[in-house]
Amino acid sequence: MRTTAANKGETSAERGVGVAVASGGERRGFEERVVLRLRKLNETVIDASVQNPHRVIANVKPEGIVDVCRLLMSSGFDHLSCVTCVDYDTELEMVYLIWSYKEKCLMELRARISGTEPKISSLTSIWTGAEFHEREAYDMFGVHFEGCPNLTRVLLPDDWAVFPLRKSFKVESIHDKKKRLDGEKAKAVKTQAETPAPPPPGAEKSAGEKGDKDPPRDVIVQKEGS
Amino acid sequence: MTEMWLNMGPQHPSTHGLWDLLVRVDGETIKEAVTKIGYLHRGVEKIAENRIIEKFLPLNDRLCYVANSSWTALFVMTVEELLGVVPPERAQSIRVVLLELQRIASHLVWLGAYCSDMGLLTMILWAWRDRELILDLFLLLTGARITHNFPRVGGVRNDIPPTFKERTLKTMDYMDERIKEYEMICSESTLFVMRTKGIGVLPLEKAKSLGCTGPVLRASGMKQDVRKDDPYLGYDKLDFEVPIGKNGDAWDRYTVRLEEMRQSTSLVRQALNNMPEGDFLIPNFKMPKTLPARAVYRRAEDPRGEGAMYIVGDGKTNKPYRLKIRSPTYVHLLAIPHYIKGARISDVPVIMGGADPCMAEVDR
Amino acid sequence: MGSEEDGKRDAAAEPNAQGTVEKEAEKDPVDSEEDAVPSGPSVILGAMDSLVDWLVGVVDWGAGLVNAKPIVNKIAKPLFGWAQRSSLFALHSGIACCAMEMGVVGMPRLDSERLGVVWFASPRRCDVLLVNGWITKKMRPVLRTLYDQMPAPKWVIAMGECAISGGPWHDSYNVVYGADEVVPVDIYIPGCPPRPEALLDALCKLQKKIEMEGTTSGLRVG
Repeated sequence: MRTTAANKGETSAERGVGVAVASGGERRGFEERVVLRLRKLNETVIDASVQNPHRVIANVKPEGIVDVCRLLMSSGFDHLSCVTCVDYDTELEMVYLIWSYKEKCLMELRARISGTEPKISSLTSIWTGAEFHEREAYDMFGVHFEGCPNLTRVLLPDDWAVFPLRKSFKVESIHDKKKRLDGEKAKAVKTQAETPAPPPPGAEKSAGEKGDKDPPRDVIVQKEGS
Repeated sequence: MTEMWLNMGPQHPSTHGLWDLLVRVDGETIKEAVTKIGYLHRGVEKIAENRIIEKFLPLNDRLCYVANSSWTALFVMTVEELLGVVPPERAQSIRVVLLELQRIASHLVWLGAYCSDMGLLTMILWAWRDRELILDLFLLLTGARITHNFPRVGGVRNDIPPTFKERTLKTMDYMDERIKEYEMICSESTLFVMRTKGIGVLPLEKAKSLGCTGPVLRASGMKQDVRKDDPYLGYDKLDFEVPIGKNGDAWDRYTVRLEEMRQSTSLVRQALNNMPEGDFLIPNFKMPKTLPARAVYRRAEDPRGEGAMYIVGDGKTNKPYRLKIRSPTYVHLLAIPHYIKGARISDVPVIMGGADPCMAEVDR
Repeated sequence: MGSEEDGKRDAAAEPNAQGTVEKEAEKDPVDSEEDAVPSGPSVILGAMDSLVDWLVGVVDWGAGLVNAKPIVNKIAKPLFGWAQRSSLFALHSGIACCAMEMGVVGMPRLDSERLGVVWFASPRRCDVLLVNGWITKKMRPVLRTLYDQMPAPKWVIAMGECAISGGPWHDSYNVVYGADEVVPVDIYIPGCPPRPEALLDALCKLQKKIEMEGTTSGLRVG
């Protein structure tokens, strides 16, 4: 099921995800067991579903992220592949991608947090390597991870004050810049073509006037005797 | 004892790229280390939000200057999964040839630079000279030495040229002989063995907890490979082994990568000999005007580890709403301070090299 | 051979890269009075320096006597220029993709050593700085430091589109529009990446440039 835009207020179930049972592939008990275990935590897990074999997706509340991850770790999801963020202006969606080496299954956790004061608990108590991804999310989006041991800038210089991957930080693309400059150039050429050229100096006074005036620039004056 | 902070980088012959490893040393022993990266950060993820898919495609080659096509292929696979498009089998097979050749070339760069850090200068000359033969193959197939821009959404840019198969098979035979010689030079060198065995030990549980992947994790003893666990491009039909190490030291990281080179030559032969007939690009394929409003996470086995891309479409434009690039070496470099304690200063280039840094991919 | 003085003279004569010429003069180490008491090797080097200065003084006086100063300069300048350009030391500094093509130039197939170009790790002993990748705002002071650490005469080669103008990352929030915003550039090599043969060609052009302009180190009288 697809919607035309991914905007705030929409759950990921509506975002083209949420097929209850794998279509066209074998039924694997493991994913369904995980979904059942997650649905039991109904204070923190909003919804969970099997996307296809080897893919499970769940929407969780940000307060319960650590409990959910502990449950997943005990279920066999031992590799935190990535922690990232998607900016929806007033809300930020945290995305956690966790892989199970043994069961070969990918878990996608999504949690929506506030866009103005983004903060969520850190997962460094479960995976030490979560610190690296969280530092990058802080650097790019300004998300504050509570409990992260070293939440400092990693990619950008330390004295930068902006969070560049937020949608409010606008960067003009090279193609748009070229279009804009070409448009300005074309406009300048057009304005020049439309404006009548100023008359050469002395031309407007040439009819019937005599006097000591400089000859127009494009007229070669032959001095007598030279 | 006097303690001091030593700054190794950003311009340093052993770092193979622009990054800083600050180490606090007590005499010669390292007590603490801090990694500083970001000297090459261009904000590729922000640039991706401003470009349509076709215009972002050539920039993927510059995501890792050693293993270029593996990132272009990963991006293309991610977009194809998002659009629900499956390229023809011949195109998949051609991509496998490209990726495995890229893996060999990448490991040759690593091997040359790694050994030259240790003083084994023969290896850098040999490995980089043999890499030229593989770059000649890329030139024949794609038209460029390093920035190929070859995979396309729905297939590849062109079919393999007539002489490509014969030349590649000859080069693979030559590479098999050469890999034996590299093994002879490195593994039978007392200097090399002394400088790598027992150095930079990373236990398995720690490696998993830190998020290390690829050769670093395999060297610590974990038998996993994205090509086997989460197969793509028909890797489940190809026959290859996944080498692992025992102790997780620098020696194991070397043996794992050397064996991967051998497996790659075998994979190239299999892919070329069993290449199915068919199209190299989906006929009359046109990129849709909008990307579907979905999110897709695609992983692939980069020569450095698990590379992945997370793309979010917004249903309105042909530009990604968000593109997240998961870089394996980003994790490996930031993980170094967790297992370098107790090493000596002269072991630092060996430990740094074991992570196989490619800074363009780390900093994106 | 008076190269320290020449270094200072050259620093003043360089094109003004963002008005940092004064900074360079300040940064150049001036022999301070409270420097170490001469001992061991520095005594020998100091003595050799004085000997060389004395010899140059003798040549200067002798040439002045016979009005041969222009002749001495005419012989010495090309000789030292040839020596300078035939043994260029390039800095082993790789930034990005073009660095791979730079590395290949030192390898067996293309072998830059036959041109006399050798790669060194320390900027203090190098003549040529190759900027081969995009410069980010974090990298800017580092690049300037590397350039300032090199003794004059020195040259800069901007390799690849990123070093010329920012390249495909022109609209990035973190990339500088070309290396010539940071250091003065002598040779630009277009390409993304340029072929390694293009770098060899650039090194040959640099040698021609040194031949035409003449080096500022070496013997000069009058």
